[in-house]
This record gives sequence, structure tokens and C-alpha cells, in this order.
Amino acid sequence: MNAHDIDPEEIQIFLEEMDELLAVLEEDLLKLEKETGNPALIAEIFRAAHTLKGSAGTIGFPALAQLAHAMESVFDGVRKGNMPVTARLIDVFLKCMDALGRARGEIQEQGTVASTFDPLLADLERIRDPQPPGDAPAEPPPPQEIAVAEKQTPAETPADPRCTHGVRSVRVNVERMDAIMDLVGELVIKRTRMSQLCNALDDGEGPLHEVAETADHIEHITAQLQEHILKARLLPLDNVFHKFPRMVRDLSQITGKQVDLEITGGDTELDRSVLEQIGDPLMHILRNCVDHGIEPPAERQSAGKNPQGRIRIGAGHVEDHVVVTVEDDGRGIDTNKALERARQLALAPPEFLDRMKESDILNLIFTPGFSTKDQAGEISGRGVGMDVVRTNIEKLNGSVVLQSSPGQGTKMIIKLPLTLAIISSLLVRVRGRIFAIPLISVSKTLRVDPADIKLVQGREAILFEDAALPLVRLDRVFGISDDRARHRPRLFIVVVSWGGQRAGLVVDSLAGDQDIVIRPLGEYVGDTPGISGAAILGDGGIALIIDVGGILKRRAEIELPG
Amino acid sequence: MSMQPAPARRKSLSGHKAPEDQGALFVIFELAAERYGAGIDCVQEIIKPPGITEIPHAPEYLSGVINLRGRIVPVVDLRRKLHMEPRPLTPDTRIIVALADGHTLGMIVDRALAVRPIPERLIEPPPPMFTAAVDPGAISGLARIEGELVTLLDLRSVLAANNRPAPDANG
Repeated sequence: MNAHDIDPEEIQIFLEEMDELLAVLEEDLLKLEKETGNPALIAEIFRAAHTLKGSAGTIGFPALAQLAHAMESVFDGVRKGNMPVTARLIDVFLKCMDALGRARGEIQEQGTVASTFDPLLADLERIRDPQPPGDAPAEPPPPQEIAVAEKQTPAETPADPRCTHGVRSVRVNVERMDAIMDLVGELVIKRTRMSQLCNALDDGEGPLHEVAETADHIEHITAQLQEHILKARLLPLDNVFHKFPRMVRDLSQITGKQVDLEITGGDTELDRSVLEQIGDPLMHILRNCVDHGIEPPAERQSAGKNPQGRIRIGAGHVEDHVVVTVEDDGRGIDTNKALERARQLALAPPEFLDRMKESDILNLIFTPGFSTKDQAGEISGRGVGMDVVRTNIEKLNGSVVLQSSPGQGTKMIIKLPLTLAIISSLLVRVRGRIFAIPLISVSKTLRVDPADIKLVQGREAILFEDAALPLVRLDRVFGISDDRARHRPRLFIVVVSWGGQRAGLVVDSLAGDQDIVIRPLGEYVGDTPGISGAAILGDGGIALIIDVGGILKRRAEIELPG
Repeated sequence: MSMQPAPARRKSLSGHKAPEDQGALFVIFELAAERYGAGIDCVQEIIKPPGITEIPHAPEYLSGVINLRGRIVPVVDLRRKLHMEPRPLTPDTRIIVALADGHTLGMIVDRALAVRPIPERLIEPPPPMFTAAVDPGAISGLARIEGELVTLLDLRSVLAANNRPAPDANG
């Protein structure tokens, strides 16, 4: 049977199943490396390989089925106590995982499996039967074996959360989910409008009062509907975390370091759109922990530390945000060195660096081009890392804070919104137009007298918290300035911070906080500098959402050309 | 595409159902004192202009975005898009909401005149010199109806986003 005949939708379902199985396999293999005798893990690996074999065979990828069968056979031996779990076994299996991952990519792209697994099959055969192979050709098993193996193995400990894995869930196409989400967004907006109208018309009794009451009910139901839909889009962080043990294992082998990775809070849920984009930044942070943070075993020992370093990843809900922390017990960041490095690279004017606070110095590592390691490491690259990490997190309307004590370690605290779709924002007026500024980047609002605005090196600034706060006039940024408005008695300044920079956005007035549903302006409108999207307000008007990062970046580029 | 609100179409175009032999239905509208037509298959509805939110630094022909029943819809000033003299909105100004190339877009026109069938025999190919001001691909034909010349526009080409080649008109 040829894979070309398969319905693409079926392939998609198979690939999704394969992803799940590969994730389970990889995680369990890495755990098994530490707990070589854990029967629950062994049983689960056996089952996962078995399921993969069945699905691959059914859909028509015999080579995949063959590899899965060989993997299953090895674990059948392990399960029955005929074979020990050795480092060699784990290595071969991890290689199998890589091969399966490649095959997955091939199926996705070409619809067929191009790789051959012969060397791996031979490796697996050698593990199963250390004598030269001869009498055990890897052929698909007789069908009755399937029935036996599909029985649940009761050996699994109840503490393992995986027991509940896969129960009572429905796969929904992402686009369909997005469409439902959009419709609910519209419903929420119309509901608000309807409530306003009803309140205006309500006569306290009679049919209009009943309409108003009904509107109240609808409001209640809509709120619940919105909450449920939002929740339906949430996925546990484990979807991202599951890659990390393997990565840290490989990195510590390359660097010759000993690292113990501890992950907690993987069941914390986030909107899938956030989840999809947080993996890379987290991976980068982890790489830095292993490469720059954790010291080589000898260095750790002479510093009186455990030769094995420890990295902790934790996640949890804090108010309506998700906080992910990545913490290592490595050498920490030497602020003097960081400062020296910043001087060498001339990342900021010297007089600015001289007066920097400890916390600001730590933030230097988020500056583009910064890297304290003298040589570009094979792992962490060439200092292009942390600024990208921060940018990516801030794009998600999140924030990242760094804490570090020399000799004791470094901690990254990443704050993320539950969902990308709805954000809290501050509405402001500029020349009669309403704009929304995401609250996560707003630190303060000020009312100032235009006379307080000074010129610092030809640019407008005010004195704020004992420092010069550069000002950005939104009307000029958006090309809507109006000379008549120049001589207002009062101005409002929204102090925003982004990427370690602070600035004051000058607006005409503040129009309150509002939760808004972010909508893209769409492909047709194209690139809109300084604007990240639009939102429909309760009264039906549209507020453009200000891209704080974009505005500050543009300002910095004008300031420091090249 | 099934998400397009069909009732609105019924409301704005009721009573204009044409038998097959009378030809395809066109929305006839006015721009700079000339008559234009657009095939109704691309047109979702015709509305009076609501508040238009301008987008800073957007191309000149893009007037801004409107809230169309909870959706953000970009609005193109058809005069500017066709390189005509712009003018402010009047009480007669309408927005034709069209679906082209997968985008829902509004087009500002001076006035919406009618929805009517145009029999194929009345449609001539555009003369080559005629289309100087307009992208050549944007005109699908000319029709002479009751003594008036109606330029038939291919909305997909007219509305193709800036700097992008016009998508396949047959697509």
C-alpha cells in the first residue's frame, strides 16, 4: 500500500498521534535513564511503541511500523525481566527517537517515509540478541499479539498523571477554534452594546423591562461562553517542557557538565498561541543556563558546591498571568564584568553606565550584541540571544525579569498572559483619536505642565524618578500632529517600559482601562509601524493598539544610527 | 466563506433577482460622474459609511478601517485607488463591501445607483486606450445601457493589495 492514497486528513490525525507518542517515549526514556527499574515507565514505553506500530501499519508506513516493532520487542524483553536497561539501550532508543522525528517531518512534507532505519534496526537487534542475528527477522507481528498488548498494564502507579492522558477529549481544528473565538468576541461586543441600549430604554416595568432582563441573562451566558471557549484553547506547558530533558541531557554531554533538570508546574495551562511562541525563548534561556550558568564539575567542587549543577523550571498561575521561572545554581552574573563588557562594546554612553543601578546592569544582557563569554560558544551562539528572547516574550505581551547573585545562580522570571486574544489596555486620546496601550507595558501615568518638558540633547524629556525620561509624542509618531493643540495647558504622559528601555508617551488625555479583544488589521492593510492591531470598543468604535516595542525601537534607531 | 452573513445581502438586494437569460447581476455605482459596474458575486452588501478609523502611515488609497458588525474591515477609497481626484464624503457616499481574494474590503463610491442584470450581448471588451488611468487588468468590459456607458470593473484586480501582482482574475 502506498501512502499517496491516504486521505491527508488521516495523515494529519496520524501525525498528531505520533507527536503524542514520541513525546511520551522521549520523556519516559529520559526518566528511565535515572530510574532504570521503574516498571510503570517500562510498561508505558512498551505500550507507546506498540501503539505507534499499530497506527503506522494501519495507515501504510511499513518502515515506521517495522522500527516501532523492533523497539517494542526490545521493551517486551525488558518488561519480562530478560533484559537490563543499559546506557547503550537508552542511547540507541534516543537515536530511534531522532529517526522517528525525521520520518515525521518527511511524512508531513512529502507524505512518505524516505529514511531507512536499517542501521537502527541492526542496533536494536544486537541489543535484543547479543549473538549475531539470524533467526529473528523483524517482521510484523501476528495479529493476536495486539489484543494482548492493548490491555492496560495495572503496574502503573496511580501517582503518574499520565493515567488520565487522552481520556474524553476531542480534536478540533485550530482554524475552527479561532473562528469560534472570533464569533464569541463579536458576541461579547454586541452584548455590551445591547446592555447599553437596554439600560437607556428600560422603563422599570412592562415589555422593555423584560427585554432588559433578558439582555442581562444573555450577558451572563455570553461571559460564561467566552470563559469556556478561552479555556478550551488552553494547553498545558508540558507540551513545551517535554523537549527540555533531552536537550539538557545532550547539552551537558557536549559541555562536559553535570546537570540535573527539575521541572514543576508543567500542567499549568496557556493559550495555544502563547504556547507555540514561548518554546524557543525558553529553550534559549536553558541553553544559556547550561553553557554560561552552570560551572564545570571541578570548578563547582572547588567552590564548595555539588559537582552536579541544578536547573529548575517552574510554572504557575499568578493572578491572571502565568509565571514561568528558570533558575540555575551556577556562577551567576558578575555585574562588574557585565559593566566592563558594556563599556568595551560601548552599549551605552559612559556617564549612563556609571550611574547604573544593580538591576539595570543585569538588564544589560538583554542588549543586542551583548555576551560575556569571550568566545562565542557552540551552544549559545554569539550574543544574539537574550535580546531576541526578550523581544519574543514582549511580543506576546509578556515580560521577563532577571535576578542573579554571583556564585549562587541566576533566575529568570517570565510573566505571560493567559491568552493573546484579550488584553487589558489603557485607552488614550490623541488628536481626537482613541488608541489602546497594553497595560503590561504601562508603568505609570503622569499629568505634566508643558513647561516641565526640557530639551536633553535636542530631544524632549522630563525629570521622572530622578532620571531623564525621554518623551515620544504619539501625534508626531503617527503623523497627526496639529499645531493648534501645541499650547495645551496640560499634557498626559504614559510611562511605558519595553526591552529595558523607558519612555513617556505624550497623549492628550486618558480614557480609562478596558479589556479588549485584539484583532489583526489583516494582510491587506499590511505593515503598520507603531500599530500592532485594532480592537472594537463597547460603543462600536475602533481603537488602534499601540505597539510600544516598535515605537521605542524606532526611536532608538533614530537616536543611534547604524 | 460560509460565514458571510447572507441576510444582509438579501436585504440590500431584494427584488433584483434576474432570470438566467437576462445576464449576470451587477452593482452599478458612480465615481467622478461616471458609471461603473461590479459583478455581484464579489459584493456582500452596500452600507452607509460608519465612522472610519484612519491608520497612520497606511497607503493613501486606504481610508482606514470600519467596524462591520464586530469585524474590522479595511476600506479603500476607490477614487484614489483608481487615481482619480479625491473628495470628501457626502450624504450620497456609500461603501460597497466586497469579498475579493479572500479579503473582505469596503470600497468608497460616490453613489450607489442600482443592482441590475446586464445581458452578455451588451458587454464589449474594453478598448485598449481606454484604461490609461486604471490598471489595465481592472476593467473587464464596457456596457451600454439606456444610452449610458458603464465601465465594468474586475473587483479582484482593483482591490489587489498594494505592491502585489493582481491575483489570477479567473481564480
